[in-house]
Amino acid sequence: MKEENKKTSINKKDVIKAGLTTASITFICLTLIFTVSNAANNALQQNKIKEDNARFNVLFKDIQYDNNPAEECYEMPGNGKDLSNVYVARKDGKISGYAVEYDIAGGYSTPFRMIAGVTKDGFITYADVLIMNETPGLGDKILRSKGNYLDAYTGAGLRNKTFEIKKDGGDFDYFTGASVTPRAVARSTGRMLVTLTQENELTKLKKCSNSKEKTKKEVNNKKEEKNR
Amino acid sequence: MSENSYSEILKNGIWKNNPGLVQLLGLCPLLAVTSTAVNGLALGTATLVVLILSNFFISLVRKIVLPEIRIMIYMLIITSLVTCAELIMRAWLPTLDKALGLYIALIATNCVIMARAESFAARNTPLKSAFDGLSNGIGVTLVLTTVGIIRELSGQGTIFSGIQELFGDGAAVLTTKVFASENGFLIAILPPGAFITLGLLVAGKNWLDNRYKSKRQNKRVVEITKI
Repeated sequence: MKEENKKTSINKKDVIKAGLTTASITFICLTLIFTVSNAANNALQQNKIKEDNARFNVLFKDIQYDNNPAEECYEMPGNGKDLSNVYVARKDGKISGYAVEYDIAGGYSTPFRMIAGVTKDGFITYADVLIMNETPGLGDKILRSKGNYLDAYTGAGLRNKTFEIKKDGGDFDYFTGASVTPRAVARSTGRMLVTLTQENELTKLKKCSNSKEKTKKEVNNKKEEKNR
Repeated sequence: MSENSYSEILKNGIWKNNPGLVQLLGLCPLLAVTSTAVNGLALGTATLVVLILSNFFISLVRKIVLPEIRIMIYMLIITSLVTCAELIMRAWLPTLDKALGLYIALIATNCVIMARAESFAARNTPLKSAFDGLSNGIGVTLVLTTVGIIRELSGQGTIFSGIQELFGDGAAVLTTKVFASENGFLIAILPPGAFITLGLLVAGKNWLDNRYKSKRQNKRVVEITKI
C-alpha cells in the first residue's frame, strides 16, 4: 500500500493540507475583494450622480428645467437598428427640452452613438459623442477631447441649417481626407431632428425599457465592447 | 543565491532581462494600449503595483503551498489583486478606466506576473520578491511608455497628451505638441505600428548590448596585448 501511495504521490495528509490552504487563501482573497468593492461602490455611486448632473447641465445649457430628466425617457425610432432614447426636461410640468441619445449611421464602424440637447423648438444646444470607434487620427477629430468641431451644432436646427457637409451642399465643415465621419454625423443628426419633430406626442411613445439604470449599463457595456 | 542581490535584481528587471524587450512577455496589453504615452504609463503603473503585491504575497505563502496546487494558488492571488486594482481604478480614476477598459482586467493574464511568481517569488524571501516585482514593473512601465511615446509622436505629433487624467489638471503643461496631427503617420497609431515600434526597440536594445560586448572584448584584447 505504501509503495502505491508513493508511486502516485497521493497522500491523504497532503490532500487535506492542499484543501485547507486553498480554502483559507480563497477566504482571505474574498475578504480583500469584498472590502475593496464595498468602498469602491460607494465612490462609484457618487461619481455617477455627479456625472449625470454634470452631463444634463451641459446638454441643457440654455434650457430651464426642474425635473430629473434621467427619470423620464421615451424610445423613438432611431437611425440604425437601435432606438433613440429621448430624455425629457420639464419646467413647471411643461416640456422645455429634450436630450436625445441617437445612433449615427454611415460611419466607418459601429457602435457610434451621440447625445444632443434639443430645445422644445428643435434647436440643438449641445452635442457630444457617447460611443465611437472611428479611425484614430481621422474620424476621431470630431471628439470633444480633440477639438471643438461639435460646437458647430450648437444652435443648429432644421429651420436654419442644412444637415449635410459643405462638400454636399450643406452647412457643416468636414476634415480634409476624412469626410465620411462628419457626413454621417450631419445626416444622422438631421434625421434625428426630423424624427423628433414628427413624434410630436412623445408621451404616447414607449417608455425606455428599464429606465435609466439599464440604458446606463448598456452604454457601459458597449464601451467595454468597443475597448475590446 | 549571491546573484540575487538587490542591485542584480534591479539590473535584471530593467535591462538585462527586461520582461518586455528580452522575455517578450505580456505582449497583448503592450501592443494594444500603447497608442499614447499616457495609456502606456498608466497600464505600466497598474501592472507595477499588482506585480509588487502579487510577488510579495506569493512569496509569503510559498512554504505552505504544495507544489501540486501552486499554480492555482498563484492565479487566485493574482486575480484577486487585479480585481481590486480594477475596482479602485473604476471608482477613483474613471477617465483612465475608460481609456484602458478591459486591459486592466487583462493584467491577470499578463504572463509577466505569472512568470515572476513562478521563477522568482516561489524561491525567494518576501522582501526580495517585492523588490523583484518593483524592478520588473519598472521595466514593463519603461517599455510601455517608450512605445507609447514613439507611437504618439509619430502618429499625432504630441507627447503625453491627456496626462491630466493621470496626475490632475496641473500636469497638463507636460503635454508637448511637436507638429499638427494632420501630418501624423497614421500607421503608428494602428496595430501594425505597435509591432513595428516594439521590433525597433528590441533591435535597438540588442544593438546596444552587442556594442557594449564588443567594446569590452576589444578592451580585453588591448589589455592582453599590452601584457
